[in-house]
Amino acid sequence: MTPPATECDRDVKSLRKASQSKSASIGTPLIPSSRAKARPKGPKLVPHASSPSTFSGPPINTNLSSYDRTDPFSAFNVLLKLLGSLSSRVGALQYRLAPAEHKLSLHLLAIIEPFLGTELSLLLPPCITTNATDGTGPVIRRRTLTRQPTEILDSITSHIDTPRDLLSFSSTCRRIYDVVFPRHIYYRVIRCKISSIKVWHHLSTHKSLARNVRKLEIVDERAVVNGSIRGAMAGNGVRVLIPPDIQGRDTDFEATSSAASHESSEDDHQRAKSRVYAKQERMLIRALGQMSGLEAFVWSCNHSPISVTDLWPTLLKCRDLKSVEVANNLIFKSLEEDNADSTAESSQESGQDDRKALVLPGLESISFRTAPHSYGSSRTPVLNRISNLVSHCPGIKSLDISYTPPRNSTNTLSTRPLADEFLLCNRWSSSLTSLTLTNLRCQTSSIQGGGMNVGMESLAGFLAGHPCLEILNLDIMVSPPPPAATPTPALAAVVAGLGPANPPPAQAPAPPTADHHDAPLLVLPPNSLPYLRELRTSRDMATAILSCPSDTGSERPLEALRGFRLSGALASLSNSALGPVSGVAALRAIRGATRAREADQLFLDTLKRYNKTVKCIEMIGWTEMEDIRRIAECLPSLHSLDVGRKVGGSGTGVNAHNNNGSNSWNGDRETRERDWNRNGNGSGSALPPVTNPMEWANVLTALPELEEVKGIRFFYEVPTSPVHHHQHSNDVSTGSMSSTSTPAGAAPSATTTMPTISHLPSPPSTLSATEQSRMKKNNEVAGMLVWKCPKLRRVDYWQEAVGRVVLLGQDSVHQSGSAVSGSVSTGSGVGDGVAETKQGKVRWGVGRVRL
Amino acid sequence: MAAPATQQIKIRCNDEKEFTVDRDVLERSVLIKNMLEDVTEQQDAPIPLPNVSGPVMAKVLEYCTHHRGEPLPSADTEQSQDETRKRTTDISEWDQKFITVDQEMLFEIILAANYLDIKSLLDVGCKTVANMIKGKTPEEIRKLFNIVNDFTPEEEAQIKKENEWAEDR
Repeated sequence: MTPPATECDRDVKSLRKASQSKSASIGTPLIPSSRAKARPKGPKLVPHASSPSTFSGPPINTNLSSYDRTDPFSAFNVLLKLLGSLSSRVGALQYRLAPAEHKLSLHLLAIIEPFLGTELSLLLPPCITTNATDGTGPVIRRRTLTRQPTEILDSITSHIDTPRDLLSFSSTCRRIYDVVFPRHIYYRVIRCKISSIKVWHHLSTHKSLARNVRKLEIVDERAVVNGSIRGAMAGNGVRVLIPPDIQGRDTDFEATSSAASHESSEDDHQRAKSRVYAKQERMLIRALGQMSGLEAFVWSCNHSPISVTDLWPTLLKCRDLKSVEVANNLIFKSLEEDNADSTAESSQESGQDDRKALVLPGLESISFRTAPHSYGSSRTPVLNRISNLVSHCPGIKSLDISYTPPRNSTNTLSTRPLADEFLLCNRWSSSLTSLTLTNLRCQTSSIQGGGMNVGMESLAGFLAGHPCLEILNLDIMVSPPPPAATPTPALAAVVAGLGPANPPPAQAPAPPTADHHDAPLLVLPPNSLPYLRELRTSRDMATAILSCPSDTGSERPLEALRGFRLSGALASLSNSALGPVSGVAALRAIRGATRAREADQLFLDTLKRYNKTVKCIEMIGWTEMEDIRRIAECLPSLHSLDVGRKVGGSGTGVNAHNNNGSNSWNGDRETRERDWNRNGNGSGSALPPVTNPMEWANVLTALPELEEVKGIRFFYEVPTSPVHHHQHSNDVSTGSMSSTSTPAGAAPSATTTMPTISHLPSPPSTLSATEQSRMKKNNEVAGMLVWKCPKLRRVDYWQEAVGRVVLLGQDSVHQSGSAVSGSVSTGSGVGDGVAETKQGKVRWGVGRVRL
Repeated sequence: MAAPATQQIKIRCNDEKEFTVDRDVLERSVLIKNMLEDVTEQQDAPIPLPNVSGPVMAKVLEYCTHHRGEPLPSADTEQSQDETRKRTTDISEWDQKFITVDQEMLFEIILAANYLDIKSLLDVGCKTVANMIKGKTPEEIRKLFNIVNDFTPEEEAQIKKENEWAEDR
């Protein structure tokens, strides 16, 4: 197997390689390999080992011990001299080393090597590296990973993608660290503003580094940024990620533009500005062109006229692109609105690329959202641009188009972008599994022949055309066609009746009313969406989708239903009947409530068909406990229930919009998110717990599988113990517990002094009387909940959105899960409690959850 | 197996071992392809390949023979070459079997592919090594590749600490 070359021969070769590798810098002439090969070996032809006669200069001392190990320079010089003399030897001696010289050259190399790092040892055969390490070092084989040239290590590393693997690999030894860190880890994710042109300059000039970028995020131009290099991670602004080796300032590259800005008049200022933008765009495009390994692109660049459509032709060349996220208002602008010079240029460019029909076959996920401010927002948002972009992506699995109207404008129907054309023109039939369409609208189209109006035809066609859909988030409303009349209820009812031939009982979607023309009229062809697992949409839309019959007999594997709300019509009915309103108004209210009730019933009947599969319900709000009870009846095998916010209240009538039940879940989500953020910023407020926990528990008893409840606050605020605190033992006996507290009013007053989890635990002795009674109350509730719902483990914490839940557990059954704090199972800090029940001890404690 | 019209090329490895191979097989190596284009009408002398040994060359030729006829990455510019070379992590079944060799040979093949400029083979080799690295702890990787840990414990801790961001990304 091993080559039949003698050691000597191999050494000569390796020397030759060494000399070749140096030849570039020192000018040693290359040895023609054929001649070197052809030469016979052995000392026979070499007259004398160290014969000075063969040298054209002073003789070289071949005594190995005369060279100092610590002096690589003289060793290098001698080696140079030795090699340099080879070509000038006469006759058959040309390019030939005597055995002693050969030994010497290897010895010299061994002296030089430690000072050069490991590179040179690559060239040395094993015998040398072993000898050279004074016998102390390990035997280094030639073909090991660390002995590979940097370019190969680089290439290997480029096939490793997860940060964890990269980090593990880099921490094996220095040699690999020196390759992986500066060339890969620093470059895998780059996040900065588009004005960081030094980054673009660096990347466009270092192709081999740009190739290693996998994710590029361009953040808002006005974002508060902290940390200019990787690793800085303080504060709450955007953390930019720029490789630390990118030197210089952005201004270094702005010479031309700043010079230009000094030109002359005022309106030149505008021109200079646009020149700056053009330059940023140009440089980014150039850098982007080098990122051949890019997999994810995030465009949140706002406050800049550069649009992602300008970059699209370049992005199309990134063949590995898997995900694109756009959070930008310009994307919803119509193409005509923008007539800047740069756009015209680049759209011309994109026209050329269209002709080449470039596609991104690997792109799986694409999302378009608006930015949370009004810059660049359009009064008449459209989906033209988005339509253009996605036409290059044949394999989309996940599509998200979420429009949010600018803050200062009202979210009326007409400000939503029209989705019909988009829905009619685009199909990803075999791939699309997840679809989110938020705040869009469809127009009712009139069928000329019958003279009928059919709503959401385009949406129905789109949904029917994508049988692989598993996750569907829909917030689409129907708006009337501008010239045509609003569909009358009668017509709409006819349309609804036109649906499936064999309608199940109460199959038709809720009939729209004259004053609620935005009720959806979605009629899906039979067998649509056979794999639907998760649905987030309004009540009536859900009814329409879920009631679509399937021939196969098996229902859709629906697991989660979110984003709806029931009308609370019961309350509204009784209120209006009892209230002082009279006459027409009362009648109308009653009629509206009845209709809403019918729609509720329709929804619940539909839901009942999925009672075996649905495990998770997330409502955006609730009005009446009765509604929750009805849902619990329909879906007895629920595992998780989120009832959302209390809407209205028993004292106030529910307005007509809520009655409709088809209002936007997105709006509510935003409200929740806003609260979320507010609370996240440290001013979390404790809300009063429900006053009727027993009633709630009775409702929940209908759900024997229930593990998690959100939206119903059972527990009173008490001082918390640190989550992993074990020393305090404050088991509260619940033997003689009596409910003496008046909790509902007391709790909110304590909110401002609410200690956070990082605070020191208050010693048990400091518990005030109120707190102690609250503790008792909490223990009581815990005991009752566990008794009523044996599988219930998580309920709401008394403070919202702080990433904590109250965990319940029984000693006999319960072993706390991974997210559960130790205090639950072992013993309890101040905020934890124990309640004795018939089944045994019930413990409760506070646990962290990931937000 | 070789068509009579196919030109035969001789190559000689660094251990004096010689191979006679069809030109189209050999031209999968961009290095040799360029050499052959430069040299005119003098085929009797074998092409010397001083950086490759006989056993490795045999293996490389096995790969080239199997993949003969497949389109070569376009040779215009480096840029376009990179674009057409899609980064995929999966290795075809044949390649997988082919590359199942001991580590020494694996690195020999990688070096030879690099030297001979056979991009697809280089990719297969590098992917194989990368796959060996994936999902392992530093200690496991060291053991696998016989790497000596030359970090001090302090340095190691420092690396880990400085790069906690990488853990969850």
